[in-house]
Amino acid sequence: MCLAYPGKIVKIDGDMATIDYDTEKRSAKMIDKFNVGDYVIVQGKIVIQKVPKKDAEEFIKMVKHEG
Amino acid sequence: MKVENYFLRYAFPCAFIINEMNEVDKETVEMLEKAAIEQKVLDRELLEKIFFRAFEKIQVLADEMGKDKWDYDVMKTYFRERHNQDIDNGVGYYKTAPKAIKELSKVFEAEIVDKRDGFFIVQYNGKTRTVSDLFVSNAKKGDKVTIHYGFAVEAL
Repeated sequence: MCLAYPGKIVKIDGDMATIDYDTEKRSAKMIDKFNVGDYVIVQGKIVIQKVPKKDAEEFIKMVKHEG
Repeated sequence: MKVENYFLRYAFPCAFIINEMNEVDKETVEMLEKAAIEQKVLDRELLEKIFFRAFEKIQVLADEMGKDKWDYDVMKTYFRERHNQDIDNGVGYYKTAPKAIKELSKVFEAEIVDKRDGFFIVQYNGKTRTVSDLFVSNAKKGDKVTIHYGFAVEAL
């Protein structure tokens, strides 16, 4: 599943992160260092990038509002 | 590659966002992802319906170019040029999208600086990003690819 949408890291176990998307949780591999609480974009089961908290929350709000 | 596949490779990361907007269901998102990966040719009408925002803009470009919207040149120009311009100009939903998301939505030419299991580390404009190698798994270190969201999309 590609998630071009920010989720929040809620758990880290080794190089695997559990990411919360509100409606579901998914796990992905981390290449760089990330922390619990970070908002990230996951694609191809890899955490590709951190999104600043403010940006992520704004974006989630914007998308939900459109729906 | 068929033009429908070319379109889908660039477009399908956005399917998750339109799923969050409740315009398409999860099954549709999964179907689109599977079609993108397996290079399955989907019905043009279906793609135009799901990605209607993109096709509004593709139609404008096609008219400017005097070609059909499914013409390869039109698609290529859209994803390689027009799409980034629209983001920079704050067209539609990009008007309020945060900077970090806009950066991910843009298409860049990048160089593969490292190849690992299932992904590439690429560099573009002095920035580094991790992208999935799913669509261009044959590319090697030093090759140039386009990147969109978390994917290397086409080898250059």
